[in-house]
Amino acid sequence: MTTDPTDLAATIAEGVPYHVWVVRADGSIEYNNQQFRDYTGLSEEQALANEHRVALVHPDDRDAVTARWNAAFATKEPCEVEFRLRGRDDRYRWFLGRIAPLHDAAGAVTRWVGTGVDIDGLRESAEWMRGFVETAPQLIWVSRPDGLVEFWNRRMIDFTGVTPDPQTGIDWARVLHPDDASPARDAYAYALAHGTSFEFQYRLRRHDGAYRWYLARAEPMRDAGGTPIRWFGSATDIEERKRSEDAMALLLDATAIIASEREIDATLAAVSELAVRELAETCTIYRPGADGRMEISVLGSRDAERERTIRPMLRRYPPRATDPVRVVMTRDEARLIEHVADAERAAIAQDEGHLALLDRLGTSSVIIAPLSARGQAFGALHLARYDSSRPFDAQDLRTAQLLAGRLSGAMDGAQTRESERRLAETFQASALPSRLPAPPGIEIKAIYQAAEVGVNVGGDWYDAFEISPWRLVLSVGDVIGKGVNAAATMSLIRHGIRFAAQRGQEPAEILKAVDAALKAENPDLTATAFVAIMDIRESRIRYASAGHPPAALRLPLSGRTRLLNVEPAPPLGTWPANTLPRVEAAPLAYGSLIAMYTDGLTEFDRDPIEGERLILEALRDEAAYASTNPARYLRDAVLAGRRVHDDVAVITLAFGRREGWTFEAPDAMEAEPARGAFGRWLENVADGDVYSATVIFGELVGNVVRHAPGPIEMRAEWQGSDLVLHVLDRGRGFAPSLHLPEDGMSENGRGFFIVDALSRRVNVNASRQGTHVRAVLPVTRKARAA
Amino acid sequence: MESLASVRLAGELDLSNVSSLRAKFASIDGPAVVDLSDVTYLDSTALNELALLRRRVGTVALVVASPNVRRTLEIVGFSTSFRIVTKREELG
Repeated sequence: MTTDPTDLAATIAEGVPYHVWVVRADGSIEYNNQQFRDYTGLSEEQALANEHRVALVHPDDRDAVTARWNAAFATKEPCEVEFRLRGRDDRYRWFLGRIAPLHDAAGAVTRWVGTGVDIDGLRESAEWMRGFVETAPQLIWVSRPDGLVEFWNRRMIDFTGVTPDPQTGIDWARVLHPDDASPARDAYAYALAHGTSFEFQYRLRRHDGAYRWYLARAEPMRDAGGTPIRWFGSATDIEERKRSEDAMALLLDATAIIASEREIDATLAAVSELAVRELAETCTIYRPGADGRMEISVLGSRDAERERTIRPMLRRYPPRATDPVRVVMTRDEARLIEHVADAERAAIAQDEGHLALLDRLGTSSVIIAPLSARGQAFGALHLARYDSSRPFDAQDLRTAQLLAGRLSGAMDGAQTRESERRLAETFQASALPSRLPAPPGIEIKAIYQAAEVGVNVGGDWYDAFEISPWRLVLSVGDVIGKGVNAAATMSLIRHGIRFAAQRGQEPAEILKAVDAALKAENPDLTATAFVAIMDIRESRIRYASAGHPPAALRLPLSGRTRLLNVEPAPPLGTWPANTLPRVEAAPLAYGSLIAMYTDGLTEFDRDPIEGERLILEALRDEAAYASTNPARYLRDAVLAGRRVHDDVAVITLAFGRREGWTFEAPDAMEAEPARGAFGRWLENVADGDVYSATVIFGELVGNVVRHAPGPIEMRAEWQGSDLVLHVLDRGRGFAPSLHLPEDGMSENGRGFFIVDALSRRVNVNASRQGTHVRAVLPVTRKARAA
Repeated sequence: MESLASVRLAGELDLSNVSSLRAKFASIDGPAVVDLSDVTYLDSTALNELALLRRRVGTVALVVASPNVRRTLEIVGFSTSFRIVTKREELG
């Protein structure tokens, strides 16, 4: 190459502010520009010698440079490499060297043109930048568009204890929480694919295995054409903020549960479940039992095995006065035990067996918070963790205290509601008739059950009274309204009915009179009512309804049922002038059973049709008629233990009941001593094998005591010439064994065989609410009672 | 049979006094005579205890005066597993 200043190429090569050189195809150097010579201090002659040039490359970079140059010559492709070149001042600077081949017309390489750009300043600022990035208080990373992580700052490496591999980058599954790894990767992949920003909250694994919440963000850096070429990300520690949010959410959920559940036991169970999902591995709610011992009210656990250990352990070793649970209660102060020590376990252990159980459980962290309100202690909330790498901390204690506060409020409210409910029930009960008439052959039974206060306070009633030796009036009704006014109005209506009936009025006039009285006395309240007048001599019943559900009737023997329907007048207190309610009549055969009720019985599920169906179904069962309290039987059969939001009143009348003998007790064992009285009664009214009848009695009682301990109802009643002994229990039924046990000397299994052998006939009928045994006793009616 | 253990029961034997019945039987450890002459009522409660006794000691004789009580024993087939007499003397 010439240095003729008129040569354009030469001008360019000498004019540009970087090194330029040309290499021949054989590798020898043809040309250098002045910039190069000025920088390196080499003479023209020296600069043309390869060994001089190589000597100027920093020793650490020589191999890389040589390798790249050789590769370029071999492949005849351009290449670039960064290396340090020593200047005339003996200082090394970073250069970016590029070399590109020149081709002739035939395509062969004739020369290589090389350039070198001083990037030292750039690299220095890059170093400075790096220093900043390393020490910034954020976690910072850089990744390529394909997701490979090129760079993690020092903080990232120190926090996770992991360094990105140059070939494979980072395995995110290693450093993210298992629940967060996949969703985070998917979100990042989406951002990479669409060139959008990335934002995600995940748990990052610290070098010691603990996880902390981080908010990660990444933005793309784009080239001039807008294509992302690198992604810069940073992550901020949001652990504290997240914990606060979680605690807040937990308390909101707890508040929602408390607001929606009416039953305190269900509330405690649901909140405990919540606590076990979000805060602790087990949650135990202690409440003082009847005898002052602390009992577990609720126990929730993530681990069923653990629950099976804890429950019997606490039953056997209830907390003593010196144990933390009781101390927390007496002092009304919450306690946090971050790490449970062996000494603490030993202090709680009541004996070796207890200590062994405690050691096996391995509780590692505990929070106990008192449950109390307005100076009254309700119990204690006990939370435990078993993973020693995740102890409770002060924030968890605060959350637990707030949770305990909410629970205490709920328990206080429930207690208040319960005592108010009992008060209302007592008031109602005292406002209801204290005695029910019992003319010969007629058995009237009734029950009243108050709803929880706050929904429909008071207002339901039942009534039954005689207006002559052969005329009986029954009424039921429901005052629509709330408060003490409703209860007072109920009384007014009840007595209004009595007054009108005693003046000889028929059901329609009775209702009309009450409607007028209600309008006059309490115009803002209304009521529904069903009134029936029974004529014993005529065996008829006449009835009318004011907006009230119909009575139900069970026919004798067949047990068929129907409703005593009548077109209802409007509710009392709303009648337009000149309203004349319809009255219907029905004959009553001996052995019938009538049931009147209020809509609390039928509308608990807001489906009165279904409710009526359930009543008729329950009535059809002979057990309803044989029961010593058909009103209670019906209530139990229809409601099946449900708590209802409305009062329930039921009154039943059995017509044409024969002389008989009844007995009932909440505990079947009490029926055993009644056998004597039964035997004596039997001797008075019957001839025949009285002894065997008492054995049947004894066996049936024994059967209930053994298989369905609990309430028992017994009734002996003549049915034609048969004396039938009915026994009702609340058991789930049994398969009566009508054979002797195979092992002649078996210790049981004979009872029913004996009953079957001694009775004329015996039947067993099991229903959802209990078993009804009816045995025809081996006796005949005496001509006239002795 | 002078060497037999002997127990005398009386009154009504039912669920309400089964534990004292059990206690009386528990003290028997060999073939025995159970005297039911003064028993006025007996049902499967006592029958179960007699069965257990019989199984444990092998031989049990019963003295039964009341035809009612006897009938109950016969209904459950105890006349084959127990020797039943009306008077104590019949046992010799």
